[in-house]
Order: sequence, then structure tokens, then C-alpha cells
Amino acid sequence: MPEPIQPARGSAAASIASVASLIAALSCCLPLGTLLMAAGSVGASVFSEYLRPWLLAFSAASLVFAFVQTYVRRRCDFRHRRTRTVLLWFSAAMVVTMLASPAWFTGLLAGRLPSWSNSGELIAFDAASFARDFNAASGETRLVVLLSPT
Amino acid sequence: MFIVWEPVLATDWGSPSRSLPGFVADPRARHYWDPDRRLSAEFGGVGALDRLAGARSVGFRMKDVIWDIAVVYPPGLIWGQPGTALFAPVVKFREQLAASF
Repeated sequence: MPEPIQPARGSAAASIASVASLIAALSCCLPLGTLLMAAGSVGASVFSEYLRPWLLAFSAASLVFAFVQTYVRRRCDFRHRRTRTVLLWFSAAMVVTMLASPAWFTGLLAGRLPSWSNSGELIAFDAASFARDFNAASGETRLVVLLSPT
Repeated sequence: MFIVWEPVLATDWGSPSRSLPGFVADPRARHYWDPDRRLSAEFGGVGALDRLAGARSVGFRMKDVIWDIAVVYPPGLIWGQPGTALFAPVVKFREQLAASF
């Protein structure tokens, strides 16, 4: 008599863990939109700065585990359960997108994508020219901001 | 407004996207990419944070790089002089920044 098919709790849990850890890893950028700035947050500073690499690694590991459970070991009926399969691939898409384009993805999660118009040019930092630019604007209030892209 | 982007977090690997300035799409902003975090070093590193501005509101502990900060410099100050106010993290003090800039 064949063994009964076991529910794929491990796979589903891994998918959820992957999503959860990914969101946690990105929590530094939530919320991203501000009047002046759009990067960093309290979460980034006190939490994810140190944990982020581990959370991302955990996301990837959870995803690998879920895929192995689903498509390699094939001990369960996971593949036939649409919701779980969708969740797995959704998780995979999120993790891959995050790793491929973290700035864009964190902006998306924060509900703010970069403005393509009037976005300005990215200048290679040079201390001397920076100081020159700064002093050239000495007639007005200046704001110097240091930010992480993600 | 001088926006200096620098890699700090694990996800900051690689070259920055050309859309990066778009996250602060203020026409007054000049955007710089500082891959070697030279501005942080020029500021004197985290240990010199107290000397960067007269008033400081710092809501988190930086490890080894100055980041997620905004320093306000009123008219007349030249580069190298301390600013009047420093805020970190930026998002937490956006209202104060908006009022001072």
C-alpha cells in the first residue's frame, strides 16, 4: 500500500520564510518616500544594517529548500497545489529581482519608484571638486546628505 | 543640495543605476557617487560625528561609515567648517530638514 502523500508544509513554510526574510532584509527602506530624501530609515540603521546579509542569505536558502522539496525530492503533491506553487515562484521572483536590482526593488516596496524625468546626473565624487561646488554655493543654505542606494 | 551616494549595505554591490538620482528628484540636488566612501573619511569617520555640526540629532549607531545623515550649512560657511545641524537617519528628521532648507 503506497504511503499517503504528506502535506508540503516544509516547502510552503520555506516560501513564506523566504518572503518574510526578504521583506525584513529590505525593511530599511520602508518607508522610502520623504520630502527630500528617499533612502534609509531607522530600520536600516538599527536593524538591517547588520542583519541584512544574513536575512538575504536566509531568503536564498529558504528558496532553495522550497525548490528542492518541490521539484527534486517530489515526495509531496506541492506541484499540484496552485497556491503553494504560485507562492514559491512569487518568492523566487522577488528574491531574484531584489538581488538583481536592489535599489529599484526597495523603491517599489516603499511605493516610490525613481523619477526618470529631471532625475539629474550622477557625478563621480572627487573631494576637491566637491569642495569647490560647495563653496560656490556659499550664498545659500546647503544640505549635504550621505545615503546608501538601497 | 548635495546628495552623496555611497555603498554601505550588503545590497549596495555593483555600479549604481542611472536612475539612482531619480529617488531624490529635486532640481536643486547635485548627485555624487562615492564608491570609496571618501566623503565619510574626509568627515573624519564615525568618531568625528560630534564635530560635524553644532546641533546633532542622531537616532542610530553607525558602525564604521558615516551614512544616512544630512548636515545643514547656512550661507557663508565654507567647506571644512562645521554645519549648524546634523540629522540621522534622514527619513526620521525629514520635517526638520524641510524646515531648515
